Amino acid sequence: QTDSLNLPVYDYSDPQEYEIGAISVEGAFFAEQNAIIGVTGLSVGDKIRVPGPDIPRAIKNLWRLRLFTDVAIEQEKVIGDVIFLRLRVEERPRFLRHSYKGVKQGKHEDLNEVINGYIVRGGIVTEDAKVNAAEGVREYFVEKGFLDATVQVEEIVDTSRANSVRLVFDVDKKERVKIKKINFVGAEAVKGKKLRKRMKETSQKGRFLKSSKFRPELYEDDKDAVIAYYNTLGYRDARVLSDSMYRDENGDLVIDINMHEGNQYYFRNITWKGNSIYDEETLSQVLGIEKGDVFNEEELQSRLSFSQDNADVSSLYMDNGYLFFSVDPIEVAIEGDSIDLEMRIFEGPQATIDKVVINGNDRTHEHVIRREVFTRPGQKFSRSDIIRSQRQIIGLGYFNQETLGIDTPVNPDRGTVDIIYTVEEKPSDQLELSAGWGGQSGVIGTLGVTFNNFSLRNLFNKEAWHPLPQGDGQRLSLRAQTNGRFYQSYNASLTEPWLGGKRPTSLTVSAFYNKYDLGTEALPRKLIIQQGSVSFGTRLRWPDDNFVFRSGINLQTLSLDNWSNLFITDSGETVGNGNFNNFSFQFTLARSTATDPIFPKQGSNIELTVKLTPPYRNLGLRSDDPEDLADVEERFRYLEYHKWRLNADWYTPLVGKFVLKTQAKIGFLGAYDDAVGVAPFERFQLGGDGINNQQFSFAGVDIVSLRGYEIEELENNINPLTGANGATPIFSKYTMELRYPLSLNPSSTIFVLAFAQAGNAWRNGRDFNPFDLKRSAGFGARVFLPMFGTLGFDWGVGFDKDAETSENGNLSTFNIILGFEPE
Amino acid sequence: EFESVRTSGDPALWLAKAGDYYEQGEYQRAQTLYELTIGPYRGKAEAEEIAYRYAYTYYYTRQYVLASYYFKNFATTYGGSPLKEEADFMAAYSNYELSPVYRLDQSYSVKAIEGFEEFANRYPNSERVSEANLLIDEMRAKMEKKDFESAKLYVDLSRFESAQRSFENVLKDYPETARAEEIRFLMAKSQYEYARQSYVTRQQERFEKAVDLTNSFLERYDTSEYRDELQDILTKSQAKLKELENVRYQSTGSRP
Repeated sequence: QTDSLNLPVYDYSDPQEYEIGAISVEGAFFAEQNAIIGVTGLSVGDKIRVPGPDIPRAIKNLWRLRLFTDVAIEQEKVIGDVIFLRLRVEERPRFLRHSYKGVKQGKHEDLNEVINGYIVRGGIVTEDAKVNAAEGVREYFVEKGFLDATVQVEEIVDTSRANSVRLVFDVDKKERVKIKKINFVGAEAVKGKKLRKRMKETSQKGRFLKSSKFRPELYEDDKDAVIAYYNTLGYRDARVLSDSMYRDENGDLVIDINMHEGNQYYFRNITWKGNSIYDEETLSQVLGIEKGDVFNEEELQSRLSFSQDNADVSSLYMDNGYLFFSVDPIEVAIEGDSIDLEMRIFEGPQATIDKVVINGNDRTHEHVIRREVFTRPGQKFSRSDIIRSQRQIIGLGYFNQETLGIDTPVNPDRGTVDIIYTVEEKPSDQLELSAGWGGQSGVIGTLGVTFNNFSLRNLFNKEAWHPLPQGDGQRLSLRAQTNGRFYQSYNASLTEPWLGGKRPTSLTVSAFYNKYDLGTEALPRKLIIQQGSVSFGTRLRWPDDNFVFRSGINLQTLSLDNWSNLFITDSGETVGNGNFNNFSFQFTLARSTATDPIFPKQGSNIELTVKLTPPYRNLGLRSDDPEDLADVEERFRYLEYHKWRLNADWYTPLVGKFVLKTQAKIGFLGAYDDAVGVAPFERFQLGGDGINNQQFSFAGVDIVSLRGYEIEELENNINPLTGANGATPIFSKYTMELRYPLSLNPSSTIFVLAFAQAGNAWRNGRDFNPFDLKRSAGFGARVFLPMFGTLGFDWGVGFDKDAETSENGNLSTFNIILGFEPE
Repeated sequence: EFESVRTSGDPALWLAKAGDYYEQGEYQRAQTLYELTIGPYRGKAEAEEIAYRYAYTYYYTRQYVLASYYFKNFATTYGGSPLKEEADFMAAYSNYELSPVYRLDQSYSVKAIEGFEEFANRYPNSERVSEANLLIDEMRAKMEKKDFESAKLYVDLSRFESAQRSFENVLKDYPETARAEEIRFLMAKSQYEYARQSYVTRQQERFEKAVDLTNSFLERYDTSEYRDELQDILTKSQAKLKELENVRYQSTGSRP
């Protein structure tokens, strides 16, 4: 650069080819010459073109080392077609490290990030980089509200290594500057208070939960927000004329914003042009803007294209595949404060889906996703199909809801569109390892795993084990539970959601084994229940596709050895010994529209289940001999019953965030043959917290809570002959629950509730009286934590209890909920 | 020992030990030490080997995303290096290592193919080109299988129109496919199923297409194992078309 007068002149239209004769390096004292030459990519003997791409590339490579303040490649001399090159570089000391003065340790990491943007360790330090880094640090503090912060940089030669320096950033943050007042001058149509509210990030001192620091960039955004607010009120000419900031006597900041409001405008006539598919009336109705409404650009755009509920004009077209649709509102006349609009529409052709692409699935096999997707090649594009597909994909539970991407690149020449779903896998497996307090049973340890995305076919494929074979969308769950002393339980189940791969018919195979052994060697007391079951579930297309039908077979055996008197027949015989076979078919018809499992706001879940055993005696398979019937064990060796359950929940949003839950639960257990009577198992036990024994699931009875009443406070639960608590063949329960959410954060959902409940249990059909109900009311709270499930309590008062028979004459009960909501 | 080397602050020792670890196959430790030496050896003769081996430590520890990045980085930084060709190849090969089974996302296959193609263009005389081409073929075959299987899934789901279009795309995107015969057979067969399950009003048009697809298959493949099945479909389709023709004749004839 020194000999600017003698710069060689190259003719760019006529590049020459040279062979490199030699390369010399000038100005490198610390960097090694050969290394520098190596980086350029040039070497002796190479053929290069001058002018050509080689020299600029070499220069670029040298710059990238960030070791030099100047880089030049010069032609030393040319002999024939051999060129001699000289690399001239200017070195600077290298930056070794930096430190801070006047900054707390906690901020160092943030600041290092700022500084690394300007200076690289091992690279050189220029004046420029130093100043920029210092400014970066200062801006960091200004962003935090320290408007007066100053930063000095000191360069110190570091003796620990040759040719190195270190930098010291000396920061003086000064006092944090707070905003005392924001004044709007000239704002008459709108109150200053309302405008200040629009300034989300810039607020006066003293506003609740708002910081009053001043951040310049956000302040600019906030001014725009004020204007945007004016625009929504029809003041389309509103603007900030000027703004000024000054400090008051305490050093606090005062902001004056000078507003020009302008006139308020109104919509007048809106006409449509270019529409052939929908008529003007339909379009106007969808637009929903009337003559005389305040002119609001934001509202107009939203009604045309961006409405939250997808009921805008664009959606009308897009949903039907008119992807090339566009609408342009033109202001054809402005008279006084009235604006006439002409909507110019381009409809274009209907787009056909060409390819449906799924990206990002690095665990889940593609067919598991593709079969759920409603947008398919060859169909017309429809936005509602995309939204539905999105819901289906999220519903699989394998992907991050926040990052699910949907792209629709169009090909206008072919009139087609591709649909690209980009998913991000999230962990979907659950490990349950817990020790819980189970009342009288002591500490219960649980070890359970659920793999929600299992792949059975890869079970024997070693390469697919990372750490488990996964990706086929099958669900495998294994669980073991014990309290070490008298209780053991083992569960296993496997579900394939698309049996055969052609229809969404699920197959579930499951088994469990439960053992309670409370007795001693001398006096055994034992109950063992084991069950294997197979069930199919299928989504119905009729009456609508929210219906699900499930059917299954359960093979269960119960063996009792001197077991307690929980199981009692109608005639009062206690069933405490023997082996019983419970073979049943089960059919469930369910309709579910309340999708949120934790705090549903609307929709309903209705489920009707019938469980049937074969009517052995009617089929002549079992003996009707009175002698056999007299023996309880022989009579029930093969259980005969038909059992009906109806569960229905409705969720209705009320004012504000209040949600009303209405629920009905009815259960009925019947016998085929009066001579046999109703089976002692499979009955219901209504009352109490519904948790009693439910830690031990599958205990031979269905336990249903009734808030406000203990089990023994319902007279039908008490066997008149033995006086012990039993279970009944019939119950019904009705609940109204008013719920209010305190937090809907998925990591901790909290809500409070008030309930009114009525229910009763009956010992047989003849006594059944739907109006003879035990009423109660109370309140409670729930907290849902993903790790622990539902925790909470209910406090209820039973109105229909006999104060004398109740415990201490106390009419209320207090229930604690641990882990899950009881039935 | 490793810890004391790491905290020694002595670049020469780091480099020496990193070399030892590297040669012993302890790539994780080598990586840590090489990373420390990058700064101090910037612009020195050793920097090239450091960068080269640093990239390999990622490759050997199966961190292929980073390996690919550092190989690429090496190749652009050391343009004159004799190792550049190898690094360019390895950058693509690392992506090849990431290419999963056909049931999963094939982004890395696409990246690897791009990388190998670029390699073959840049070093047409390299002895690695034939390997690159083999690997490209392998990954294209995988992507083809993926698209083929997704088209077949639509057949399974009885979404014949979607299957038809997807099969067409496979033939278009993979002209080299060895499955052309099977695909054309499945197209003809699923078009027949489609027509059979359609409303009467749409059947004529759909059976006609089935006949077209079947005929063109039979012309194209003289000795196909699918011939008998398609012959059968052809006969049935033609019979059905005749039947539809009669129905229409009668219904038009009955009009005044």
